[in-house]
Amino acid sequence: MSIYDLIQRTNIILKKYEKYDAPIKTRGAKTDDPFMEEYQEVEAELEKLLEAASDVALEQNRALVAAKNAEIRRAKNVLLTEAVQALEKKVKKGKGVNKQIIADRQQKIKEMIEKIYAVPDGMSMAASRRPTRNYQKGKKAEAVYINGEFESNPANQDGYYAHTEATQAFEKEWAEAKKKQDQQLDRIEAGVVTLGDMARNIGEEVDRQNPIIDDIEQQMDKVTNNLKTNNQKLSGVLKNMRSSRNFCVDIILITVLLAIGAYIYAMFM
Amino acid sequence: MEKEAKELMKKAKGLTVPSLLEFRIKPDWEAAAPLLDKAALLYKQAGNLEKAVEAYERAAYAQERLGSQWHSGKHYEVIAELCRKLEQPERVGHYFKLAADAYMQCGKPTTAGECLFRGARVLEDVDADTALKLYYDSLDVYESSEKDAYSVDAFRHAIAFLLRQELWADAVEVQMRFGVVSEKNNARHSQNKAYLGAVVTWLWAGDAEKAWMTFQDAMAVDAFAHTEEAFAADALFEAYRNNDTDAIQALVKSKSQFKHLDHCVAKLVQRLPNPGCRMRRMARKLKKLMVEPEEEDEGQEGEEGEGGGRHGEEDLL
Repeated sequence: MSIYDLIQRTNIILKKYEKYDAPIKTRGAKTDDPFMEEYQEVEAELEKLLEAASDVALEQNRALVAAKNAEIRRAKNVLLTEAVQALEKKVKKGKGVNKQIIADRQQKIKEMIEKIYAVPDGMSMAASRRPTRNYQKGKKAEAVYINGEFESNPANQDGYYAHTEATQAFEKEWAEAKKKQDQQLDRIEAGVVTLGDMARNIGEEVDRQNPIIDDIEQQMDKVTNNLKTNNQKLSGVLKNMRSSRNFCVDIILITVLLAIGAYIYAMFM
Repeated sequence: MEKEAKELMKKAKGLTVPSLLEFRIKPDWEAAAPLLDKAALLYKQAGNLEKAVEAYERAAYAQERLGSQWHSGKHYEVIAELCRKLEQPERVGHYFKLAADAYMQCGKPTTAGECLFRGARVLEDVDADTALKLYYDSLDVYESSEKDAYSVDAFRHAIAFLLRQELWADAVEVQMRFGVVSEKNNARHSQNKAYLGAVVTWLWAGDAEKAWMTFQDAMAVDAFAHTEEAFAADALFEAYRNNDTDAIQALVKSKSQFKHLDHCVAKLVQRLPNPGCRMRRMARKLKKLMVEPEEEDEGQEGEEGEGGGRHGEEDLL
């Protein structure tokens, strides 16, 4: 049963037994202290916020914690802007207001603001979290030598790795080719990242539509079954109304009636 | 056409009134309902919208009494559409709500959510407050009936609407909620994009502290902590801390994660940093927040952060 159903049912029950309700105490139209009214309303809101904050502390699911923190921050924002404005407007209102009372009220407003700021909304987390990479970027791999200890390995022969002009030109060419390849790889990376994002979006959309399709399948099954039963009921009703036996009986009876009619007619002619 | 419609209405009315001549004590809704439907349709086609609204209301009531909430809901939606043509926005919202209630009663919460969503879309330009309320209602309906898969469209449009209305705190709240829903559906990519979008929204609004806190909340979620989006957000914070407008713009153009966000948020990102926000103050706050606080300084930093935050609130007011 969903929340909506519960709400509906409680409303119906309440309406049914309305006449037993105690009469609602109407608030006096003129109160002497509009400031205190407003203040009490703001206090009630603050209570609700504190409750919500304590709920958050018990919550395990971090995503829910994040969402609830965002909600608390929004509510704090609303209180700090609208509620405080309303309070400031009412500071000078009311009967018998003198300087002392105004000063008191200003003090109360300041305290209220402090209390609102004090509502915990994830601001007092200990260490700040920053993303870290699991690997170390840019660490050059060490060269691996096959058959490293043998004399026949060119790496161990003197003069094998000395530079000549040709090798220097070759290295330059190699560096430039490497740069060009890096550029092209960057372009490929951009393309692949976009493709990846699109693929993930498509994947998520398809995953999301799976339960919808399951729902539709369920409903279709229900409808087909309904149709089948209805069809069978229809054919049953038809059979009762026009089974061949009844039909033949009908024809015979009609012929008999006609025969009797003809006999009487002939008799009287 | 109108005369025909009038005849049908009279006939239907006659059927619903108990009369002795036809031995009827209870009104005969079953016969009246199709007549009312036809009459309402004829009025609509004839272009007489006021009468059509009246006829559709009666038809909806008849269907309700027949127990066919689905049809009555459909009629209420038609009425809402007609009211929109008549340019009476208050009634539009009212009728969309009635339609959604009817759908909920016959046990089809997804249709109710879709109806509220459609209503909110219609009212976006005309009546922003009611539109906002309808968006929130549709999100609540989806949440309470656990049909999160249908809610994604509603979330996206609600976020786009809130960003257009510049209600930053609300937009961030809805984005974080979307993150939760995406996590339930195992849609990690959407979740990451939602968190990155929330951080970007706060940075655009100029509130560095809240942006950092939202980022910390998001980092607490394991799925987000090692993603490319987290790195992109981190790099953005670095650029803000160094108070470097060019770096921010270069970063936003180079990192493709920002381009993959939802289009409304992506539009904001491309225009970062917001020329109206106070970069130096943000940079200063971020400098304090991003350094690991030592034990003795923690209490002090908390207070300073609050003092700076208060200034920020007053400036944004």
